[in-house]
Amino acid sequence: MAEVSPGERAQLILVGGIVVAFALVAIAMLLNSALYTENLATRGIGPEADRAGDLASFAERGGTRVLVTENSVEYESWTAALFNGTVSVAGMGELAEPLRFSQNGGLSTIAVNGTRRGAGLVQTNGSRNFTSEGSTGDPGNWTLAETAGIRAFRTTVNQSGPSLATDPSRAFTIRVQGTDGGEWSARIYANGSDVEVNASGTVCRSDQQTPTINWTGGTLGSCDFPFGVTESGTSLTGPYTVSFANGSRAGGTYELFVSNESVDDVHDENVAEPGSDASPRWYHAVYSISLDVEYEEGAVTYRTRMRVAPDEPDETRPEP
Amino acid sequence: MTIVPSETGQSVDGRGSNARGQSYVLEAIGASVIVLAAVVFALQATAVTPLSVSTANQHIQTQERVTADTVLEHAARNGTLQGAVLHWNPDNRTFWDASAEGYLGRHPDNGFGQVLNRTFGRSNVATNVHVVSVGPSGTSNTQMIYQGIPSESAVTATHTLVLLDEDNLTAPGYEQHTLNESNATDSFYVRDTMTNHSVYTVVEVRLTVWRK
Repeated sequence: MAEVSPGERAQLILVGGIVVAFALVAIAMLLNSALYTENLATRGIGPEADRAGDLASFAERGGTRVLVTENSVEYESWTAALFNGTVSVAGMGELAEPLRFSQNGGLSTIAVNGTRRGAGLVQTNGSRNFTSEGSTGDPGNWTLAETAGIRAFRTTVNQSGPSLATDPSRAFTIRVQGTDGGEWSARIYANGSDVEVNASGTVCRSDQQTPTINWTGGTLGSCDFPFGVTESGTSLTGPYTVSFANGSRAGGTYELFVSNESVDDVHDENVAEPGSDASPRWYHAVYSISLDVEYEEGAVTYRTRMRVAPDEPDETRPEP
Repeated sequence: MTIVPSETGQSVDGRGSNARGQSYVLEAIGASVIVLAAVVFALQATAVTPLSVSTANQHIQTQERVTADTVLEHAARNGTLQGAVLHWNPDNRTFWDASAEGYLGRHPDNGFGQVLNRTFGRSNVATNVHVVSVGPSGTSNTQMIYQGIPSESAVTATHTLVLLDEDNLTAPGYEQHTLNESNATDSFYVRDTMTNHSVYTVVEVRLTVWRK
């Protein structure tokens, strides 16, 4: 070590001590900054945002369940259908408000912003074929509705009822035509003991005795097919005309809901009136409900508007 | 002033040596005080460290809350959450195959219970589940699953469900029993809060999780 005088040694110790002190302080501040930054960056918003999301999810799922239940009631007037649908969905939202507030101190609102009239077309007699109920025109080839929207269209084919055609060209056919001339069609026919469906070129098969075909969902069991598009994959342009052909070549039950803006949307000359037990028939329903959802808790304010239309595909959604 | 020769032969002033020695001591004390103060400041300044209990807890709590939220969302989407809420024995007025206090120390033998087992059963995480509803007579809180007193770091996730008059119970042997029928005999744990309409009531399922 270099020779230093006692005076210089003391000063060296002093300066060295100050340098060490500054180094320790600098390290402490750097470490603190890094850890605090990481802590802030990984800190979540808190459960309030999750509860806002839960409310929106509840509004959509709950509203869907309520609307499906209300639409199973065959109302004989739109006044009754819209009133009961609105009150039930709004009531569901009102029941959630005190629950949110008492448990978490959150303010929630689910309000009905608007409704769209619709019509349910059903055949509940499973042993009947798919002809019309009207006394005019060709009962095997008939139009169900001319409508701006189609949703929740399902058919259950009863192989114990009217015999299915084995020749696809003579098979029962469902057609949805758009205003631009585009057409989606689906044929139901027998292939051995199986039921085969050809929807716009996609073929699905089921070995069940009474298979259920979800048209708007595009499924027959685990098989998927397109709905509302042409064979080339082009989407249809609404309003849409829904019709049956060769209705005597298949039988079973079906239901579908169409948007109904005028009294002529449903071709009621081909189906029985609301309140009737005959098949097929139509009745008044709610096609869709628009909801305003709001939630406030702490620093979180959440607002959204959503539309509830159960089992409605994008392809046949009405224009706003 | 007496000049005393030093052993090295240099002349030394006695009073000057004394003064320098005092200043050296003072400098040493000052240096040590500064170093000590710096060390103390450094130790006090590092409030948040990887070993800090609060930071570790916060990460774990966030992770558990997200997991609980996901479990409830998944169960609601596939219908098992509603199935669990309706897994009720109206004759015993308990959840199916459970005591009056619910499933104690275990998960129910239904779809929701299987999801809870798969998610939390192997990771040493305890769960409590309550079904809460608000009606004309106040708040009702029904215990479905109880696995102990939650710790301070427990988190709670919630999911809201609507029950309809025509919903069927899911307990074996009671699948034809609707909530409407159960309400008529006062045999369900929640009363119909919206009579004359298709909605029965709205309930909130609260899932509390914590590390054992």
